[in-house]
Amino acid sequence: MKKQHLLPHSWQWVGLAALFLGLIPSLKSFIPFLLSGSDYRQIGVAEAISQFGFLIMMPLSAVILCFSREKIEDERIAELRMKSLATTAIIYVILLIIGPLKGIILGRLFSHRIISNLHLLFGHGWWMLFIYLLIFKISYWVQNRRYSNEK
Amino acid sequence: MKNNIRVERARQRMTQQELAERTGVSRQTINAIEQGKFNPSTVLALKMSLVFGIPVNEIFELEEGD
Repeated sequence: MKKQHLLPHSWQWVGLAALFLGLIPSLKSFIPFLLSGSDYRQIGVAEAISQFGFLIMMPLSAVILCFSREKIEDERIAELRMKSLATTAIIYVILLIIGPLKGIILGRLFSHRIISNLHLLFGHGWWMLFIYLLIFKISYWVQNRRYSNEK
Repeated sequence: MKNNIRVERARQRMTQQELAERTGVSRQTINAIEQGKFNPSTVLALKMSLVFGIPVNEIFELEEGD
Protein backbone atom coordinates (compact mmCIF):
# COMPACT_ATOMS: atom_id res chain seq x y z
CA MET A 1 0.00 0.00 0.00
CA LYS A 2 1.16 3.51 -0.72
CA LYS A 3 2.68 5.39 2.18
CA GLN A 4 0.49 8.24 3.36
CA HIS A 5 2.19 11.41 4.47
CA LEU A 6 0.08 12.27 7.47
CA LEU A 7 0.89 13.42 10.99
CA PRO A 8 0.73 10.82 13.79
CA HIS A 9 -2.67 10.15 15.40
CA SER A 10 -1.59 11.84 18.66
CA TRP A 11 -1.40 15.17 16.79
CA GLN A 12 -5.19 15.25 16.80
CA TRP A 13 -4.94 16.28 20.46
CA VAL A 14 -2.60 19.13 19.45
CA GLY A 15 -5.13 20.15 16.79
CA LEU A 16 -7.98 20.07 19.29
CA ALA A 17 -5.96 22.18 21.75
CA ALA A 18 -5.23 24.74 18.99
CA LEU A 19 -8.91 24.74 18.03
CA PHE A 20 -9.87 25.38 21.66
CA LEU A 21 -7.33 28.22 21.91
CA GLY A 22 -8.66 29.74 18.69
CA LEU A 23 -12.34 29.17 19.27
CA ILE A 24 -12.72 30.57 22.80
CA PRO A 25 -11.42 34.12 22.10
CA SER A 26 -13.20 34.11 18.75
CA LEU A 27 -16.55 33.21 20.24
CA LYS A 28 -15.98 35.56 23.17
CA SER A 29 -15.41 38.76 21.26
CA PHE A 30 -14.43 38.55 17.60
CA ILE A 31 -17.62 37.11 16.12
CA PRO A 32 -19.97 39.29 18.26
CA PHE A 33 -17.76 42.25 17.24
CA LEU A 34 -18.21 41.43 13.56
CA LEU A 35 -21.93 40.91 13.94
CA SER A 36 -22.32 44.17 15.88
CA GLY A 37 -21.83 46.07 12.65
CA SER A 38 -18.61 47.82 13.75
CA ASP A 39 -15.93 48.55 11.19
CA TYR A 40 -13.42 45.68 11.30
CA ARG A 41 -10.62 48.05 10.22
CA GLN A 42 -10.90 49.77 13.61
CA ILE A 43 -10.08 46.67 15.64
CA GLY A 44 -8.23 47.61 18.85
CA VAL A 45 -5.68 45.78 21.01
CA ALA A 46 -8.35 43.76 22.84
CA GLU A 47 -9.71 42.44 19.60
CA ALA A 48 -6.22 41.71 18.30
CA ILE A 49 -5.98 38.72 20.68
CA SER A 50 -9.24 37.28 19.45
CA GLN A 51 -8.20 38.05 15.89
CA PHE A 52 -5.02 36.07 16.54
CA GLY A 53 -7.12 33.18 17.78
CA PHE A 54 -9.47 33.40 14.84
CA LEU A 55 -7.02 34.01 12.02
CA ILE A 56 -3.99 32.03 13.23
CA MET A 57 -5.00 29.31 15.68
CA MET A 58 -8.17 28.16 13.93
CA PRO A 59 -6.60 27.67 10.47
CA LEU A 60 -3.62 26.00 12.18
CA SER A 61 -5.90 23.62 14.09
CA ALA A 62 -7.85 22.88 10.90
CA VAL A 63 -4.65 21.91 9.07
CA ILE A 64 -3.43 19.72 11.96
CA LEU A 65 -6.80 17.98 12.37
CA CYS A 66 -7.19 17.40 8.63
CA PHE A 67 -3.70 15.98 8.14
CA SER A 68 -3.37 13.72 11.18
CA ARG A 69 -3.94 9.99 10.98
CA GLU A 70 -6.84 8.06 12.37
CA LYS A 71 -6.07 5.14 14.74
CA ILE A 72 -5.95 2.70 11.82
CA GLU A 73 -5.36 4.48 8.54
CA ASP A 74 -6.09 1.95 5.80
CA GLU A 75 -7.31 2.11 2.21
CA ARG A 76 -10.99 2.37 3.21
CA ILE A 77 -10.15 5.49 5.22
CA ALA A 78 -8.05 6.82 2.32
CA GLU A 79 -11.07 6.39 0.03
CA LEU A 80 -13.26 8.12 2.62
CA ARG A 81 -10.80 11.03 2.69
CA MET A 82 -10.94 11.33 -1.10
CA LYS A 83 -14.76 11.27 -1.14
CA SER A 84 -14.91 13.90 1.62
CA LEU A 85 -12.45 16.06 -0.30
CA ALA A 86 -14.53 15.75 -3.49
CA THR A 87 -17.73 16.69 -1.62
CA THR A 88 -15.96 19.68 -0.04
CA ALA A 89 -14.79 20.83 -3.49
CA ILE A 90 -18.38 20.66 -4.78
CA ILE A 91 -19.63 22.66 -1.76
CA TYR A 92 -16.88 25.24 -2.34
CA VAL A 93 -17.87 25.67 -5.99
CA ILE A 94 -21.54 26.05 -5.02
CA LEU A 95 -20.58 28.69 -2.42
CA LEU A 96 -18.50 30.50 -5.05
CA ILE A 97 -21.48 30.55 -7.40
CA ILE A 98 -24.04 31.69 -4.84
CA GLY A 99 -21.55 34.09 -3.16
CA PRO A 100 -22.44 37.12 -5.31
CA LEU A 101 -26.13 36.53 -4.55
CA LYS A 102 -25.46 36.80 -0.81
CA GLY A 103 -25.42 40.60 -0.86
CA ILE A 104 -28.71 40.78 -2.74
CA ILE A 105 -30.49 38.31 -0.43
CA LEU A 106 -29.02 39.51 2.88
CA GLY A 107 -29.11 43.17 1.84
CA ARG A 108 -32.83 43.17 2.40
CA LEU A 109 -32.43 41.87 5.95
CA PHE A 110 -29.20 43.35 7.39
CA SER A 111 -27.11 46.52 7.16
CA HIS A 112 -24.29 46.90 4.65
CA ARG A 113 -21.69 46.77 7.45
CA ILE A 114 -22.86 43.39 8.77
CA ILE A 115 -22.77 41.93 5.25
CA SER A 116 -19.26 43.30 4.81
CA ASN A 117 -18.18 41.70 8.09
CA LEU A 118 -19.85 38.41 7.15
CA HIS A 119 -17.77 38.50 4.01
CA LEU A 120 -14.65 38.83 6.18
CA LEU A 121 -15.82 35.89 8.28
CA PHE A 122 -16.67 33.52 5.44
CA GLY A 123 -14.29 34.88 2.85
CA HIS A 124 -11.44 32.77 4.21
CA GLY A 125 -10.87 29.60 2.25
CA TRP A 126 -9.64 27.70 5.30
CA TRP A 127 -13.25 27.31 6.42
CA MET A 128 -13.37 24.61 3.78
CA LEU A 129 -10.92 22.57 5.86
CA PHE A 130 -13.51 22.50 8.62
CA ILE A 131 -16.21 21.52 6.12
CA TYR A 132 -13.93 18.70 4.93
CA LEU A 133 -13.26 17.69 8.54
CA LEU A 134 -16.96 17.66 9.36
CA ILE A 135 -17.85 15.52 6.32
CA PHE A 136 -14.93 13.15 6.89
CA LYS A 137 -15.50 12.67 10.63
CA ILE A 138 -19.25 12.09 10.22
CA SER A 139 -18.67 9.57 7.38
CA TYR A 140 -15.92 7.88 9.43
CA TRP A 141 -18.18 7.57 12.46
CA VAL A 142 -21.15 6.32 10.41
CA GLN A 143 -19.05 3.73 8.52
CA ASN A 144 -17.33 2.47 11.67
CA ARG A 145 -20.68 2.03 13.38
CA ARG A 146 -22.12 0.28 10.33
CA TYR A 147 -19.22 -2.16 10.03
CA SER A 148 -18.48 -2.68 13.70
CA ASN A 149 -20.63 -5.77 14.21
CA GLU A 150 -18.94 -8.99 13.17
CA LYS A 151 -21.35 -11.29 11.32
CA MET B 1 -17.54 -8.27 -7.12
CA LYS B 2 -18.34 -11.34 -5.02
CA ASN B 3 -15.98 -12.71 -2.41
CA ASN B 4 -15.62 -15.83 -0.28
CA ILE B 5 -13.74 -14.24 2.60
CA ARG B 6 -16.34 -15.20 5.20
CA VAL B 7 -16.32 -18.82 4.01
CA GLU B 8 -12.53 -18.97 3.96
CA ARG B 9 -12.34 -17.39 7.41
CA ALA B 10 -14.80 -19.92 8.77
CA ARG B 11 -12.85 -22.74 7.15
CA GLN B 12 -9.63 -21.56 8.76
CA ARG B 13 -11.36 -20.63 12.05
CA MET B 14 -10.13 -17.06 11.81
CA THR B 15 -11.89 -14.00 13.23
CA GLN B 16 -12.23 -10.70 11.35
CA GLN B 17 -9.84 -9.17 13.89
CA GLU B 18 -7.16 -11.79 13.18
CA LEU B 19 -7.49 -11.32 9.43
CA ALA B 20 -7.40 -7.54 9.88
CA GLU B 21 -4.21 -7.73 11.95
CA ARG B 22 -2.51 -10.03 9.45
CA THR B 23 -3.39 -7.82 6.48
CA GLY B 24 -2.77 -4.47 8.22
CA VAL B 25 -6.25 -3.01 7.96
CA SER B 26 -9.06 -2.38 10.46
CA ARG B 27 -11.68 -4.98 11.38
CA GLN B 28 -14.34 -2.64 10.01
CA THR B 29 -12.60 -2.70 6.62
CA ILE B 30 -12.66 -6.51 6.58
CA ASN B 31 -16.36 -6.38 7.46
CA ALA B 32 -17.03 -3.85 4.68
CA ILE B 33 -15.23 -6.08 2.15
CA GLU B 34 -17.14 -9.17 3.31
CA GLN B 35 -20.42 -7.31 2.89
CA GLY B 36 -19.39 -6.26 -0.62
CA LYS B 37 -19.51 -2.57 0.29
CA PHE B 38 -15.84 -1.92 -0.35
CA ASN B 39 -13.57 -3.33 -3.04
CA PRO B 40 -10.02 -3.94 -1.79
CA SER B 41 -6.93 -2.87 -3.69
CA THR B 42 -4.83 -5.45 -5.55
CA VAL B 43 -2.25 -5.32 -2.76
CA LEU B 44 -4.81 -6.09 -0.06
CA ALA B 45 -6.37 -8.85 -2.18
CA LEU B 46 -2.92 -10.43 -2.63
CA LYS B 47 -2.25 -10.18 1.11
CA MET B 48 -5.51 -12.02 1.80
CA SER B 49 -4.55 -14.61 -0.75
CA LEU B 50 -1.25 -15.14 1.11
CA VAL B 51 -2.98 -15.36 4.50
CA PHE B 52 -5.54 -17.92 3.26
CA GLY B 53 -3.00 -19.75 1.12
CA ILE B 54 -5.25 -19.85 -1.96
CA PRO B 55 -5.17 -17.93 -5.28
CA VAL B 56 -6.85 -14.51 -5.46
CA ASN B 57 -9.41 -15.69 -8.01
CA GLU B 58 -10.67 -18.25 -5.50
CA ILE B 59 -11.41 -15.47 -3.02
CA PHE B 60 -12.76 -12.82 -5.38
CA GLU B 61 -14.83 -13.30 -8.51
CA LEU B 62 -16.49 -10.94 -10.94
CA GLU B 63 -20.25 -10.65 -11.07
CA GLU B 64 -22.42 -9.83 -14.06
CA GLY B 65 -22.30 -6.09 -14.66
CA ASP B 66 -18.79 -5.67 -13.23
